[in-house]
Amino acid sequence: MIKNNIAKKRYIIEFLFKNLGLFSIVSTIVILFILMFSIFSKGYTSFYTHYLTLEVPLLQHNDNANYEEILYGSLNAMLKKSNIENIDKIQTSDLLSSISISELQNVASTLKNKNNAESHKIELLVSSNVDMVLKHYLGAGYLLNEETIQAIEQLKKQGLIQTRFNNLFFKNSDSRYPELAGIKGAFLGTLYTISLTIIFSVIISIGAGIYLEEFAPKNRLINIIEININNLAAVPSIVFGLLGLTIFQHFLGVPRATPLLASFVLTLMSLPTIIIATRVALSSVPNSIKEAAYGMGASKVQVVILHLLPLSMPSILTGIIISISRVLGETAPLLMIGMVAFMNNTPSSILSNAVAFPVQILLWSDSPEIGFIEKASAASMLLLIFLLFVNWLSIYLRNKFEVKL
Amino acid sequence: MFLFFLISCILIFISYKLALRKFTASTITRENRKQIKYFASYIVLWSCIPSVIFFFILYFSTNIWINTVITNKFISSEPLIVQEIVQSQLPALVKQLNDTNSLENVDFPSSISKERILEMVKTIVHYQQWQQLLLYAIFVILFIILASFLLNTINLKGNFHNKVEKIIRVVLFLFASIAILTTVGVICSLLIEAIKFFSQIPITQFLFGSNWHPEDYELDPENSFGVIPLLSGTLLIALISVSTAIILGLSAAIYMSEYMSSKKRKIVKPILEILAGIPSIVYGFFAAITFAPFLVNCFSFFGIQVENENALTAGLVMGIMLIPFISSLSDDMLHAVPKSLREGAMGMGSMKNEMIRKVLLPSAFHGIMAAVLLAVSRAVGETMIVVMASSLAANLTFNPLEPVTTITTQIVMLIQGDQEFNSPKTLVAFALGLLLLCITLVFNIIAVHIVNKYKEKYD
Repeated sequence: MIKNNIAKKRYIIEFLFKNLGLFSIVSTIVILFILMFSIFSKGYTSFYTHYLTLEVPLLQHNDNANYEEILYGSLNAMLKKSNIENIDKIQTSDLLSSISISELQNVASTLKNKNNAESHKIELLVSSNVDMVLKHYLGAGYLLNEETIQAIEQLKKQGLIQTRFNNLFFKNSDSRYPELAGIKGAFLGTLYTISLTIIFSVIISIGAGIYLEEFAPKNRLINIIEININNLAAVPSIVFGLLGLTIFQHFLGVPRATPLLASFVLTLMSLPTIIIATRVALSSVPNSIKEAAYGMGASKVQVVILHLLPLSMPSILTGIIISISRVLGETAPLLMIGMVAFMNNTPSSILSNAVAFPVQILLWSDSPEIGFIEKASAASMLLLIFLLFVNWLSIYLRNKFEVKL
Repeated sequence: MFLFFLISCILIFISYKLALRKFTASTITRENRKQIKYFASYIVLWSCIPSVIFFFILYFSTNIWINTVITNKFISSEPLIVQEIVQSQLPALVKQLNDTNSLENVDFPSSISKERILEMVKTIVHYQQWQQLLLYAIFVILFIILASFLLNTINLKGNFHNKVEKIIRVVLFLFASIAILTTVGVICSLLIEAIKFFSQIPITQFLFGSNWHPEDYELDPENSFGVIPLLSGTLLIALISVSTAIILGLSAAIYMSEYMSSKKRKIVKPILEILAGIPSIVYGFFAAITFAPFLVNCFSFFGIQVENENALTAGLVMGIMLIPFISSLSDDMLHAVPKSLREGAMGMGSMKNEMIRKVLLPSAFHGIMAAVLLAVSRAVGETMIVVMASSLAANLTFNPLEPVTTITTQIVMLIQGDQEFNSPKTLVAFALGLLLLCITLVFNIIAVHIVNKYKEKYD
């Protein structure tokens, strides 16, 4: 009887222990999905936006014309026409985006020479607040009153507000107005930064890896370098930012907040990973290949460049991809070198001021407007999708090109 | 930059071709026939490398010179505010002048005379144009002189293969030494600025003070830079995150390595590793936008009022980030335990959980400790999650529901704001950076030491 009790207890403990592990795996996966879902569900709405069809009377280009009056006049007329109640309580100035008046002006100037009809239908971008209400976004519409929200819903039902693909999100750079803000500037900033980083870090770290694995004599200096590389991998990224600020910016005079400066800092951060990957890859090439090459009279450099490097390239490539995808999402060092500023023009070269993609997420998520939160979610979503793709790519490449030795 | 690349490519190509032409039918012998290409690359390398190095040394030194000359000539006589504005906007101003030839669309505070700034920026642009022209000229001339000198003087009989290999070796060594230069750079940059800070504020006040108010340091400079509240906040968040990660990550690793079939493990492990690939800015965004309101709602359901930016939010989200870190490291450690130990325990009639708890974990304990220490050092150095999810208020508390601040958050805030170099408010960021570096390095060195010691035990 007593024995039976002990056995029972042991089985219960075994059951609990096993299920604790299962529970933690399942809960981790659930958390991952919650994280993905919360970002994707908040972000995907950024890819479409709403346009209001407006009938504007007698558009003729005239420098003295008061386009503001024309716009709000036709807006009121349209609201009346579509039988909306309490027109006087509707916040008409909050309905359309801030560029509507200049848009109207553009349309008018293009129509200047044509014999235009008496009235003209144009589609105007709605403001971010209205857009958020139409998307039923969480917490949307706190700046609009009840009547306005009802009017918006009614207009949507009558087909006067239409849904369109939001090409402004891909065409524009950052903006003060959430409905106009886009990711192009941040995308280009990151593109310049990462391409430079790849060039610098691949050359330097493959060279360093080859030296340390194949050529380095066993002495004290090399030992120190090896310990150093391991420690560099553990230095917090923000410290690299401080290094960039003092050494590269202040001492060497590399211009602040540029992709060039950022790529210097990110190169130093990506070095240890790629060096270690190169060394592991080189050391996994069997000795027989090396010895066969030496036997045919090849020199050491020839053996490394013609035989070892091609054979170990797949693993090195995986290391490069992993390391670059890690520095791609790096934000803290970029904050240190001033890449965090409102930037409404696209960077034109590696020496112009720029923001990076992750920094853009930070900037948008810090702003109080809910429209910017949506943009930040969309940008995070794009970043996540890209990084997942890159991770998959590294696994795929490793499996495809792995040379069976 | 592109121009430089183009010029050097053209020069390299021409000198290579010229070197090849040195071998005519009369000069080719049986001995040097195999050396033609190596001879050409030897010439190219010896003319290219010194001139490129010289170009960059000149470039950076003239940059430093231009910067100091301008500051001495123009802005040292201006009031401090003007100096700051000009220094922070200088690249933008220079670019504006290059693009549009005027500074009309730039807004300045009214206290600055526009003419003086225009004059200054014009001087800088002038200097920069001369600098570029001069540097390119020097580069091309040096390259040509070296190449022609070498082409005319070198005896064709030498063993150029070995010489080229020697050069390659030296270049590779230089690449490897960049790693050491980085470390020296990190330490120097932090140490120099930190020493400047400690010459104004005593180090004991910094390390043992318990008040942190850098924004009004002018009232009481001695007592505004106490790092204790920051340390406590950092350790609190690190503690929460690492304990979350240990609970979930370690049990996940045990389950994966001991209970799961290898087929299932191949599916589950990559999914867990996705967590490691998510950038910290996305975790921070998740913490600030989704998780913090959720947590506040949860606590208000139980009647506890919690602020949006508390230590628990940042800690828990950081814990999620550290799960794959802990689980993959402890997975390695569990695999390193010899099979004989497991089989011995199972053979004595123990159940799987008893085997794991009484044999596996104690023998992998050192390795798991090392993983935990590495995770702590990661958590201490993590920036974006705490910047977005923790507060700026430096509270000395160990209550996880209260807002705390961390070292990294404060560094970001101090550097991001208006920078006045030489004011202790900016310099303290470097002292904090040095502290951060020391903490993470100590944890790492201990961890690596433990791992090495442990590895020897079973190998």
